[in-house]
Order: sequence, then C-alpha cells, then structure tokens
Amino acid sequence: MLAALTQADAVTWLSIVAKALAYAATLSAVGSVLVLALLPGLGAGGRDALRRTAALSALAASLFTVLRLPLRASFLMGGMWDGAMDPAILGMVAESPLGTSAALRLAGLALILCVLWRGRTGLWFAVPGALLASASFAFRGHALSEPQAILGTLVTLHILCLAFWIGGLAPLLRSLRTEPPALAGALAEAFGRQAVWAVGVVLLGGAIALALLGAARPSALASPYGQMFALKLLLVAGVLAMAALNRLTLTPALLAARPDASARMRRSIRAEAALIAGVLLVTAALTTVSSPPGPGEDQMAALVPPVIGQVQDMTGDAS
Amino acid sequence: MTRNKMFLPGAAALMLAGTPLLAHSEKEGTTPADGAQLTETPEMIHMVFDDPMRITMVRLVNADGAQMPLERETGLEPSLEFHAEPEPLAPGRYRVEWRGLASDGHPMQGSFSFELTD
Repeated sequence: MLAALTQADAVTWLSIVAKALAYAATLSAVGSVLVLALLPGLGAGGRDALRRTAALSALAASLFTVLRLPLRASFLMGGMWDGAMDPAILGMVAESPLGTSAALRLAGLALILCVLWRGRTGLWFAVPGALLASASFAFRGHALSEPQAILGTLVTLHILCLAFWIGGLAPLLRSLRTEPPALAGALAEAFGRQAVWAVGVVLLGGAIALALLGAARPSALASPYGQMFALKLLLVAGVLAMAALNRLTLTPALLAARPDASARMRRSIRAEAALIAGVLLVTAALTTVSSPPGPGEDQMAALVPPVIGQVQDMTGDAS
Repeated sequence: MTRNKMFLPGAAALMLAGTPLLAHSEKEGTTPADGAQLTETPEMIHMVFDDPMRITMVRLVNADGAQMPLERETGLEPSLEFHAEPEPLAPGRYRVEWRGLASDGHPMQGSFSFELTD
C-alpha cells in the first residue's frame, strides 16, 4: 500500500486530492438539496443557510470536476505538466467515460444552483440536478461493467444515500448551535427517519452487488487495493464506534435537554465529519493508485508471474 | 428513530464504495519479457493487451534514469498491440514505462525491465 503511494508522482497526488474534494463537494451539494426537499422541521434561517451551502458546494464541485480533466491528461502523458494542455490528449479524455461523467455532473450541478431560487420552484430544478449529479458517478469506472444497469442503479442510490447523510451534518450543527436542545433533537430524529429507508435500499443493493460480483476475498488483503480498503474499513469502524457513543449517551442527553448535550453533540458531529473526510480521501487514493484484484487474478498470477509488468488501474470510481 | 441509527448502515454503505469489481484490460505479454537478459538490442519493444489500449506515453530509460531514443510505430489509436523501435543500446539495465487509456476509459500505467549484457 505504502509502496503504491510513495511511487506516485505529483500529478497522481494532485489527482487524489482533486478527486476527494470533488467527492466531498458533490456529496455536500447533492445532500443539501435532498435535505432541503425531504427534511421537515428546518426553520427559515436553516433553509437559507442550506441553500447557500448547496450553491457554494456546487460551485466547488464544478471546479474540482473540471480540474480532473487536465490532471488526467497530464497523467496520460507521464505526469508532465505540458500534457495537461495537450489538445489531442484532452480530447481523448473528454471522449472517455470521465468526460461523459464530468459533463453530466456539471449539468446536474448547474441545476442545483437553482436552489438559490427561494421556495419550491427552485427545488423543482435542483432536485433533478441532484439526481443527475448522483447518476454521473454511474457513467464511469466499475459501474460500467456488466450488469451495467444494475450496477449503475446501485451506485446512484449509494451516492444519493451518502449525500443525504453528509448533507444533514451542516443543518444539524447549525440547529445545535442556534436552537434549544429539544428542537435540535427533534430535527435529528426527523433526519434519521427520512434517511433510514434510503440507507436500507443502498445496503440491500450493496449486498446484491457483492453477490453478483463475488468480490469479497481475503486474498485481496495481499494487494495494495486490499490494504487501502482495510484502512478505509478502520476509518468506518471509527465512525461506528462514535455512533454507538452518540446513540447511547449523547442523543438521550440532547433529547433530555441537558445543559452540555448540544456542545458534546456538536463536537461529535465535527469528529464524524472529519472521519468521513478521511474515508473519502482513502477512497480517492485507493481508486487512483491501485486496482481491485479481479476474480481470476490469483490463478493468472501463478501461471505467468514475470511477464506481466506493474500495471496499475488509475481510476475505478465505483464510489 | 435518531440519526445515530443510520450510522451503521451508512458506514457499511461507505465500505461498499470501494468494493472490488471487475478487472480492466491488461497487458498480456511483452517483448522483451520482464526480467529478460539479452545479448543484443531488441529489434522491437512489443506489448500485447487483452483489450484495445491507447498508449499515450512510452519511454525507455536506462539504470541512471536517462531516456533512450524510442521510435513509436503504433499511434494513439486503440490497439491490441504496441510496437516501438529502440536505437542500439549499450550494455546495462533498461526499463520501459508506459501509460495509456484502456478501452473502458481507465487510465493505465505499467513498466517492464530487461538487461543487456556483453
């Protein structure tokens, strides 16, 4: 794992950072719109703040999404900066699934900007934009494998679910900071009620994908991809541990309007956001510098060890 | 239902984000083979892929990292085979590095080495 990262050149590192930021900003933009549309109990101030968050996130996501194209071109030319502006290579990138995905995402993000139009009218444009931006993840990487329609649907649902989760963090923090604990607690409860169904669908979809692809193999831990994936699992385990603490202590305290409950929950949500940022960064890294081991790779490696050189998949983006 | 109840499924969903799926086009073989020991400059650098690959960059470097002349005979079009001709080489270790775009749009990179002896 470390070897894969230490061998990465500057362009690859920049690609990882740009990809992680594009993930985070897109999820924030999409999630803010979904929370605006679905979460009851947000006050006027909270809705205005969420509109601004959605718009700023959409602008940031557009920037990082576009930035990925010259970075990809530069990688293809061996990490040379001149390659980032090479018209032939840029054209090749634009015609690739990355270009298609970026175009769809930019269209979705542009529609999300309509969220600044107050009232339901803005949401009539922003919600389809959020769906389009989420679906853009299904037009590249492993989502294009067969059965494409099923995998694409699963990826889109996965992104929508994560986005709703991430999009709920900012309004919850704001509510905890500005409103009485009981109101913040009610908002948290409403958020959980809305989210649980979507998460359930994504989990079911994930299980179906695993069954379809038979990808979970202990031998994968021997590969850089598997090791980075294990690191990702560790971070997710951290989120789970914190969630247990929240559920057993902080949420009841908040609902009981205990004096320090809001401050403790705010700290907890910030830590949760930091862990999620770590998960996104690791995801960006593992899909950039490593390749998921294919189903028959063990056998193939045993047959032809020295002939196949170091081949690294530089995208992936099933997430 | 509190928001905490969605941490577990949500986190599990995050885990699924990087689920290993399918492999991409791969390099099936090279000439010279990786690790080959040769007594004369290979007439051709040759790579074979199992799916069409657009090789966007290829370079031949010596043990000091200096780039050796290499004339491409395969263009930027998707191709199952790639050919490039090196100029006569002095004895030593050499490494071929390449990058390209696979048929499924994935950027790929790879390398292989050979040694030239007296």
